[in-house]
Amino acid sequence: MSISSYPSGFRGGALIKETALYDTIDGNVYWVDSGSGGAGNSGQFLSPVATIDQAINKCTNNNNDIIYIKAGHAETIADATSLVADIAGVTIIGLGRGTSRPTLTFSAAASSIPVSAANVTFQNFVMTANFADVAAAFTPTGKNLTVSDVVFNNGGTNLNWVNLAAVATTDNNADGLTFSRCHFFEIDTAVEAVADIDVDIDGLTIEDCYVDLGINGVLSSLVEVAAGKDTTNIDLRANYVSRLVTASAVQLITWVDTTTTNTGIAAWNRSRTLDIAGELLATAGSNTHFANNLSTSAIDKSGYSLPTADS
Amino acid sequence: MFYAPYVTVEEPFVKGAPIFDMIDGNVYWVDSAYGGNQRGTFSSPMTTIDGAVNLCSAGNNDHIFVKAGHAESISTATALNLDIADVAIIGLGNGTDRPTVTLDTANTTTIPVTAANILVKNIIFNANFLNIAALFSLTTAKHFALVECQFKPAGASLNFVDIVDTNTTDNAADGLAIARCNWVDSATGSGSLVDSDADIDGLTALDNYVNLGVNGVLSAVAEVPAGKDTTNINVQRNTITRLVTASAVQVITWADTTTTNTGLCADNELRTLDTAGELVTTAGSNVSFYNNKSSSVAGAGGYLLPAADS
Repeated sequence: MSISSYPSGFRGGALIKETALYDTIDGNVYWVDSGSGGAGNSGQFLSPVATIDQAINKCTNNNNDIIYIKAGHAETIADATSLVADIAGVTIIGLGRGTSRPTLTFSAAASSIPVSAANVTFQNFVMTANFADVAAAFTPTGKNLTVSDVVFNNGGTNLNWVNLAAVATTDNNADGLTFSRCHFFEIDTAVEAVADIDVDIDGLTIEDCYVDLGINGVLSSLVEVAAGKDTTNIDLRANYVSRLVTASAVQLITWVDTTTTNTGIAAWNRSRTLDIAGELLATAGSNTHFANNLSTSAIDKSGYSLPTADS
Repeated sequence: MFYAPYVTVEEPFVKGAPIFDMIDGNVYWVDSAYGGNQRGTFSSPMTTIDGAVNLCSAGNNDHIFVKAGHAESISTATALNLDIADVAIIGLGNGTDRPTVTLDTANTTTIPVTAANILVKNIIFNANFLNIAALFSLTTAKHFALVECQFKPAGASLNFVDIVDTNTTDNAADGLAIARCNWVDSATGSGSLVDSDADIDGLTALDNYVNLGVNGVLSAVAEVPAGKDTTNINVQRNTITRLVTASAVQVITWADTTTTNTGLCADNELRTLDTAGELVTTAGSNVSFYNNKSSSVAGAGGYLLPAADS
């Protein structure tokens, strides 16, 4: 089937069957396909490049460029340098459903996607840990990294994630880090959390995610925050979190200390544990605002409001 | 404010628009009213969905748009085969203008689904025979998704038993999702949205409206046979009415619960007539429950079921 190309778009709009259509992509668009792509290609729909990194290298900083990844694309991330998100404002969107979504396979413990530029988005991928203790899918040092509609799974027994994002080095470099509508399945006992935060961070958001993790001490499922670090305007909403810790469970977020300045909300989360006595959602005294969180540690019981309601 | 988790409904959004609208595969059209040479294009559409499916290529993320007002009948278990992976079939139109697919002639009439990652959206499915065993029969069909479809009887004593029937191969139907669908049928032969005959991972039912006749104590969302696991189940915000008077298990029944089940059942609104022994699911299932409300009394609000942990 032939297809028309409008490389300059129609910024003033176009009438198609008397319907006004507007080109809402103000940047450039590039395509990636491991099946038909090549490093020397233009990146256009009919001439896609073969890897995401090749497409990123065609983008322009702060141009709001979009990279579409064709359904069925597969790529191996073997180190922490082969896919680097170093162009600001790029949105990388996988196409396809179910098992046809683009798949990124992480094949070494140090395999990772460094995100050194601001305002980068990854959407609709399957990301697979195919090595023991893959430390982190993303190592953001740029603000406002958004990861949405991504399934994080593993390649088999003892092939696992530790964290999905590890944030270190400089306070507030990774402000606005967001995970939205993701699935994170990992039964390995080395798994830690969605985000390992070793710096001050503002606006960390995890929403609408389904997280089911193996037990690793009493680590929290969503976030672990290092000593002396502030988490301001944190936003943890509508997640389902299952981790069958039997005692001293802190289900969503742990701060090593709470002498810091924390603000934000944890609301509408549903959590499951096996701790029937001392379960918490977050480290006590964190200053986070809680609303409508439900937790259960018993079979055939509904979740109860945790922490207990103010009056 | 409550966020709607769309993570398993097979249609993620970007900037408010579903990203399946960005189509990297081919596009084909279907319109039963067309009388000319069929090529599958907008102006020369195919007259049946199966005709369009046969134009698609596996792994190509092809899309089939079914024009508003389209109507076709399926009279056998072979007339419409969803056998090409990665195809999205999307009906156009609102209300009764939506495309209508009518299953008739025999209770064995069905739509086999034998490929992965197939999406069916915005289509009315009519049952025009008594006790049609299954609207869709899944064989090897991971991530099959039904979104915004309506399932309904063509008249009295014309009904679907189950909407989706899986086969007995474990994990062949993983990722099955039914979202924002409507199934109203008072027939006593009505079964469940899903008759799961094997282990299944990621079964999802979100935001459905289901109002069924009483058929013993069958559950409205799923029936699971003995010895089968349902892991990472996600059943949320469904409205379910089934006026069972005793031993009601309103959402899911497991024939035994010695298996490994995980997942959640949350924010469902349930209506029954069982005033004593009603359950959300079979006891001991290991599923996590949150804020499900059940009522068996006219004029009374739903109460928390099961009772809260502490």
